[in-house]
Amino acid sequence: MNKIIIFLIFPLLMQFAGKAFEHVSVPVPPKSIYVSVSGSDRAEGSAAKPLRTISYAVSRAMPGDRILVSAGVYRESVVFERGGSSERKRITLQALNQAKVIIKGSERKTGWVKGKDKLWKCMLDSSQTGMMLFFNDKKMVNVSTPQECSNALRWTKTLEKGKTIIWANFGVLNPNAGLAEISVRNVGISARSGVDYLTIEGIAVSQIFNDYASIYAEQPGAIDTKNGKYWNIIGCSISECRAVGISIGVPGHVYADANPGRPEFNDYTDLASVGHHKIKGNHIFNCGQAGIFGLIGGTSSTIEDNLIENINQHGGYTGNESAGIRLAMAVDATITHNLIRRVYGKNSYGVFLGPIFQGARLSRNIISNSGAGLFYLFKNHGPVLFDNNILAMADTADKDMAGVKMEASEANVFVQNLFYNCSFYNGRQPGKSVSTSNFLPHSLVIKQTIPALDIDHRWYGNLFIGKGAGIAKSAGSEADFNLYADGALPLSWADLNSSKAKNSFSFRLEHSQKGVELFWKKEALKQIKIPALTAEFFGFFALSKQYIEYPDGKKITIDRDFLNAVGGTLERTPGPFYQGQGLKPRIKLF
Amino acid sequence: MHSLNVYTRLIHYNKWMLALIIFFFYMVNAYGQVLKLEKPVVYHPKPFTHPGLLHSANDLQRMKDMVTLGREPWKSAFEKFRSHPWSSASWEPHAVQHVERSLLIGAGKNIGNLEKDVCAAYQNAVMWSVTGDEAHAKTAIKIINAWSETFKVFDGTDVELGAGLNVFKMASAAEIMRATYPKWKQEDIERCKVMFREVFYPPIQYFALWAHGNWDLACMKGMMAIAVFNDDHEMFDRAVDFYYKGPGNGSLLHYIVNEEGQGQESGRDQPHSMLGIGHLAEMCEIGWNQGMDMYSFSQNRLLKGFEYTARYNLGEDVPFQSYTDISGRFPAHKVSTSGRGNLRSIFEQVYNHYAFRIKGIPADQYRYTKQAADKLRPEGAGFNADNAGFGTLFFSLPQP
Repeated sequence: MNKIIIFLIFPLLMQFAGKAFEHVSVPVPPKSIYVSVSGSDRAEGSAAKPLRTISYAVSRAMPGDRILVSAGVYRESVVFERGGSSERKRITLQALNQAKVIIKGSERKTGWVKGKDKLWKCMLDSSQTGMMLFFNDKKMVNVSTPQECSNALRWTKTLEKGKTIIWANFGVLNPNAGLAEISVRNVGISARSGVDYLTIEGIAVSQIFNDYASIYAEQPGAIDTKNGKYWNIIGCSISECRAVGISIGVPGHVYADANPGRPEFNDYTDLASVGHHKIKGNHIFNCGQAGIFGLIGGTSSTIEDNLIENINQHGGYTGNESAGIRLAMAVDATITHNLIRRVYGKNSYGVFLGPIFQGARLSRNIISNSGAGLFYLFKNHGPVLFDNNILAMADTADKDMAGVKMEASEANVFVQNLFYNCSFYNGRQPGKSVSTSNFLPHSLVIKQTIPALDIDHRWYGNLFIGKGAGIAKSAGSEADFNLYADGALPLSWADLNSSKAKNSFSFRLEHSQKGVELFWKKEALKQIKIPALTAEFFGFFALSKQYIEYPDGKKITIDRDFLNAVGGTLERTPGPFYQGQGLKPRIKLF
Repeated sequence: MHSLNVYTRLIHYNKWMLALIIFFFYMVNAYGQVLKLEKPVVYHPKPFTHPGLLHSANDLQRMKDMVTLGREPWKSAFEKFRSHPWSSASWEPHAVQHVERSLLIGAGKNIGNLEKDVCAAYQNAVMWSVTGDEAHAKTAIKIINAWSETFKVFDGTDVELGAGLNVFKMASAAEIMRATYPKWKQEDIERCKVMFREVFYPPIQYFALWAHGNWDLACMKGMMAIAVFNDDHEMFDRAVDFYYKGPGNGSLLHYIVNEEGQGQESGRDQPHSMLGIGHLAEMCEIGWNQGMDMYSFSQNRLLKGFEYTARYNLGEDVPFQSYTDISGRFPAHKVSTSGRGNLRSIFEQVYNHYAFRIKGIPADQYRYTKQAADKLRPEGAGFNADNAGFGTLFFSLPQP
């Protein structure tokens, strides 16, 4: 009898035991996975026996793990299938001991044959047509015909029997001896859609042939967060990419039937489910469309201490979404102390925000030399804070070009900035038809969808130098406690307590390879009694139901300058520098 | 305290000076959507008079007396009022925890429940006052208590409208019941106050500067209603301050935009125009019951708005001046024919005020308002929770 009972019960017990064990999660300690160009993907991934590819390391990484990569060139696309599980259990991809790690979207090309007229040719195994060509790490110029390749570092392609033939002029050098590379991949580091909590640190990504991005379509980047959130991209170098360096966007679409009942960008409703990236200390250069780009990914994200330069340097991108930083639906974005310079193209901006960037703050950025202007602010109800920025248009810039272009962008609050040769355009969207949403503060809960206008701006405590200014009056706007110099004039409709400097500042920025310094005749500065620049002073922005606030809802008081010095309550100088360090004739800005 | 008295005297006894100050204020300021949230001046005597929203104790007594005596027009007006479904003592509340008033497709929750219930509460409160039938008192209290026990969240894109309109009617009911029905438990009254303060007030506290003026006005009258019931004097002054000099489209001179009486929404459509001036009049009536004369501000600008709107909706032409509102979003170049002629029940109150309550206003200055009241008499319901309606019963005064 007992045996029968045991016989009957045993399978049940086994099933129970099996399920019990199945549900007990055995904690796996975070591990380090090592990668080296001398390693093997059949190795165990230890420091002594590293893997060969980052991709394989990524496939083995679990939340909390750290992938440490030794110096070398890695010709692969790294795509994360999973991410971390929380802020404390990230998956980190990191250069080992700050080694020079570079992920390239190109393959080395040999087998060049010397042809006539100084041209070398080679045949590709495929009919690939879109590509970039590099020789000894310099990007070669693509031209249309072999006849145009008479100068060095030019190339073109032809098709023969379904195969692509490359014709290139390497000058006096032999491409088989030098390093000739053809881009073949469109992604450097990316992930499956919706992978969160990744940290990418100290990695270089280069020579990625990605497609151009649009807020209303796909947004590929050399580093691409796809639909993920909470990525940290720190200390990386992104260069020589066809379009966007870092994309924090998700694929967008056109809202053909938008109306107040079904407004544009109504796809995103939960602030915690988007953005929250930290993009810090990266060098993004020689990218063909934008340094940092994205729809929605800018929300609650921090972008700071990045050097973004030489964007669209060859003018290959002719659309209207080119910028050092181009974000839309960037609620509560914080953009701080970035140096953005040399953004080329007649439609290219230093920073292009919109539609919608309610609650954003741009602080201590240095922006100069961009083709279409320094800021383009488009379709937003605000409020947005711009403080302690240094915005310098080139001396050679078209005098009719606005340094700050605001189109259907309300409630932009400019405080303690330095504007050099920087005029403002403030207009409504011509032929406006589609309304713009605003949200309950620090959320993506749509509160109102109505046309955005040109109203409610603030200019307090700024320093205007050179041509420009002349800001037209708009409803609800205020300006005061500013200092004007070198031709800039106080506003006739405001500026009751503002002043004009007697002497010239002789302002200029002097750029170095990785930084920039300000030179000026500080004696031209003039002190003005400026009230405490509190959130209450700027006012309560009733449509958006918020003051100028931090993302956590706390009110902002502007009581620090560009150099983080604390301001007093007595008279002080308008612009981004208080007393002390700020009043030197030469100031290191970045 | 002394300085407050100075302000009070200024407002009460020197309206010309106030008008001058406000005129100057308008000349030097271009408005946007930014509020400087400063403590407003004191506009009204303390303490509040209760009941003191649309109906004073005398008003309620007059209605009761006239109906009891079978005098016209109260008799016919009461018959219309009594036969309305929201005046029924058998009305059952449909209280919910969450109400959303939203323009977004697929959104919106329970707003119909709330609108019908607040109207039923208000009409039952008046029914109780006029008839003395306790069944109506119990229904009014039952509705208010049901909501104060249940209602916690009010949101949505149009929450300002929803909160302002509905709290105005529910507070109007509560104000009558607290003053006339001692059986309403103190704990229930306190819970009602909490609901007003914590659920209805937050959405309307910053008005609606971006919208057509009727939005601000819904907030303003709702704010006044909460303030009186909750004995919150600062809140009351905040709403009154907005009436005199608020930066939105809802302040009197931004809503009735010129001496011709043209309305900010006259170029939009006529129903909203009547809704808005109706709101203004309701605020004035609350003010009147609290010892203030908001009707006469800026040389009876309110009456000019009523005359313009009544005249156009009675079929006559009106002058129209191209006008862009304070928010800048709603430019208008001609008077709108949309909804023209469908008079709303808002005219009796203003007609009776100018014809019989105050002296010295020539009849030709309110002739169109009178014609509209004559045409509608007896006035019916006020279109959902929009306006009080039933003005013939509520506001008719005995002719001397």
